[in-house]
Amino acid sequence: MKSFRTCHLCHCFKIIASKNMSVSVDGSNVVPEHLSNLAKQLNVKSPVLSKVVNNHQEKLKFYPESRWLVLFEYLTQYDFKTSELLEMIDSNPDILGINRQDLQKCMIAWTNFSFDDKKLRQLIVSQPSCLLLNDKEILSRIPKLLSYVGNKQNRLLELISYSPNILFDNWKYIESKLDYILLNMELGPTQFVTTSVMSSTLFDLKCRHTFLIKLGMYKPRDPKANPNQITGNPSLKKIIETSDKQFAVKVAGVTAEEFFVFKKIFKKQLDEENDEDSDEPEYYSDDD
Amino acid sequence: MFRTNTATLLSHSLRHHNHVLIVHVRTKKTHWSLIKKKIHPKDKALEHFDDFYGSVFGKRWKSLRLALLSPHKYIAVVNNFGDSEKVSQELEWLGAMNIRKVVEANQQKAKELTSENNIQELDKKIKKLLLSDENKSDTKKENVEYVEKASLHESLLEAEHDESRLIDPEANSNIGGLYQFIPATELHGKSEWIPESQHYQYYEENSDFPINILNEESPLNIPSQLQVFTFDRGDFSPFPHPRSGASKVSDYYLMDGGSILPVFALDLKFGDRVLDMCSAPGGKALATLQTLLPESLVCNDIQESRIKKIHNVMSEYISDYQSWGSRLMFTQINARHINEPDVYNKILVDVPCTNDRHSLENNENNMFKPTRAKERLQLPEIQADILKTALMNIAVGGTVVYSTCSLSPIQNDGVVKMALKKIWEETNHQIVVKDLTKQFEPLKSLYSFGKGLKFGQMVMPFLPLNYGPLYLCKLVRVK
Repeated sequence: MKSFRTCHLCHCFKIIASKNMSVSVDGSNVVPEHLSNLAKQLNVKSPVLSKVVNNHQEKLKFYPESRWLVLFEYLTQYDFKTSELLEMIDSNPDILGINRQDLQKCMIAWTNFSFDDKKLRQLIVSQPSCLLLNDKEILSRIPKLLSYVGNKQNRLLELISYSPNILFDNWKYIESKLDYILLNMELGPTQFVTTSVMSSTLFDLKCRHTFLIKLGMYKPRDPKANPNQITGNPSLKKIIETSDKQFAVKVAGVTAEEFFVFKKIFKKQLDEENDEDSDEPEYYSDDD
Repeated sequence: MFRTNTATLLSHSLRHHNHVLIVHVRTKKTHWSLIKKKIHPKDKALEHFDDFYGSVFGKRWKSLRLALLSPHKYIAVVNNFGDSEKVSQELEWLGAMNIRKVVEANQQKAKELTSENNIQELDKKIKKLLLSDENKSDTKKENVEYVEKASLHESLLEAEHDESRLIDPEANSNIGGLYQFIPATELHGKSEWIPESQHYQYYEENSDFPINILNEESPLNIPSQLQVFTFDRGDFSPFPHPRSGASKVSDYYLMDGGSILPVFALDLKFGDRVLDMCSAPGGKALATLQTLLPESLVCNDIQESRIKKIHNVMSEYISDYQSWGSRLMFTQINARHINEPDVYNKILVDVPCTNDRHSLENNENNMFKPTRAKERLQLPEIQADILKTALMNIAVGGTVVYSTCSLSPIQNDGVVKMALKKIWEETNHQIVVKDLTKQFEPLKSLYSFGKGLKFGQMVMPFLPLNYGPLYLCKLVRVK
């Protein structure tokens, strides 16, 4: 589940791809009869449907047509457009495996938090994996996350759209990352919700942050200074959404070799620290 | 329920670890907010370096800063008074390389390159000769020859008054020239608030006395008995803790990679009489002894506790050093007051300095303690005095190597210049600065050397080659 890493950009690509698809497919292929029937029932264009089916032949053959109908019927109640639904299936065919009861529970749980309808829909379209959660998971996880983003619904939706893994990962791990960002890096919710920081590992985050501190490029905030004052620190986006090489050369302004060596040393240091702490067993149990 | 739980937990942990229960009492001093607020000497040092070195090194400073704040790399000097062959073999198995072999390989490579170049040059010359009959004297070597320069007293005899430099006290212009740097004798009030980057400006250009700088032509010669091991670039494997072998002495001495260079620069020969003026903790002195070359070595330091440190090191590595008699002696004199002219032909001057790496790592014995501000600001004066004493005492033809473990240009080139100036003013000694750039060329794959220094060489901390900082300058007395 941790492999879902899509953001708005991917979403845009998908839209463009699907548009091109519909143009290129037109007329070239003969659509099988059962698909054109299904397309009629679902009220979508048959070439687009056949393209989606072709993309995921392996997975889709396990799901009967009834699943398609259920999904379309139920989600159109929530104002999802048929084209959006196809797109969702294209990006994550597993959502066809949800039965009606679970789907219902899940959607009720989502709507329970009075998110903005349109934004919630956008989120689910771009991250269909949101539908794979069961209602208990949603009901326990969302309030916890909300408290970290200052109880702003929109911010949370944005955060999830960048890194949907925060819904699935172990809460302890997510919490340690959020704490690190808020307490050690002294960043506010507005600064991290628009980055994919939560889908990177805590080690990478710590390593890059410590690297910048040692270079003297990341300074802690002066507690007496005006909280709105802009710090000269590089933005989180630059820190986390770059490759190792880009980060070393463009953001930190040193050679890539130095960063690679530092990473090695830092890993060793962390391992040694963990060895020392190993007296107390760590519990990795899920919160739910 | 809670109580029973804690009770079982307690008994559980007691059974397993035999912990002594320490009940932390929160006092004023141990309160977390106070601890967080406290500014340690380390933090002071970092702040100072950010200000000072930031202005000296510019963009390069952050890379240096990173290296200084990361763990540094060691080199291992194999103990020849133990089972040296076996130890060298073991170190090689660990993947360490012998510095001598690296140097020899690099020298060989350089030789091959130059011989190729020579052939090409010869070809060009022949072509030229064939093309034009005139035999132009282009090929004259541009080697700087040593020209004897007169000392202050001699030059004063021939000197004329320089009228242009007289300052008319009536005129208000140019009055700034009168306020030349005068070292402070006392510090009052806001002494710590003087950013040292401003202090540094005083030491810039005013070269009005002759300094001879000659290239060191001889190739780097590492004494044949000295076995020094290190790991490759970017390889941070640690050396295991040195064990003591059958002869009850430790296998090898671990020290910062830079610290071996002053010993190389001394260019030790058989029968040398060596003085180590500020010897503690004795690493460089031990490395000097490991060459098995010097006839005598005198280790000097100012405090008894520091002398004890040298004794400790020596006893750990040489079992019978106390019966060596005049071969290894210890003295406890202020290095500025040593007066034994023409006794030694090699003097190592590893002066007390801000010790940059140590100052950033440890709060103990830290130069940046507020109480030591005065001592710290006086350092350049003391260093120059010690170097001057060394230059006064060195025998003709002898070598003085000045070294610090600071990045500060004041404590490095600045001090060398001050000492040379004093020597020029007060004595008839002719001192030549040897430029080791060429000699250290074969070490370039092992160290990151600084550029743009006037007199000496500097090992810059650089994360993949995290040695130093170490500055060294070789001075030779010619008359």
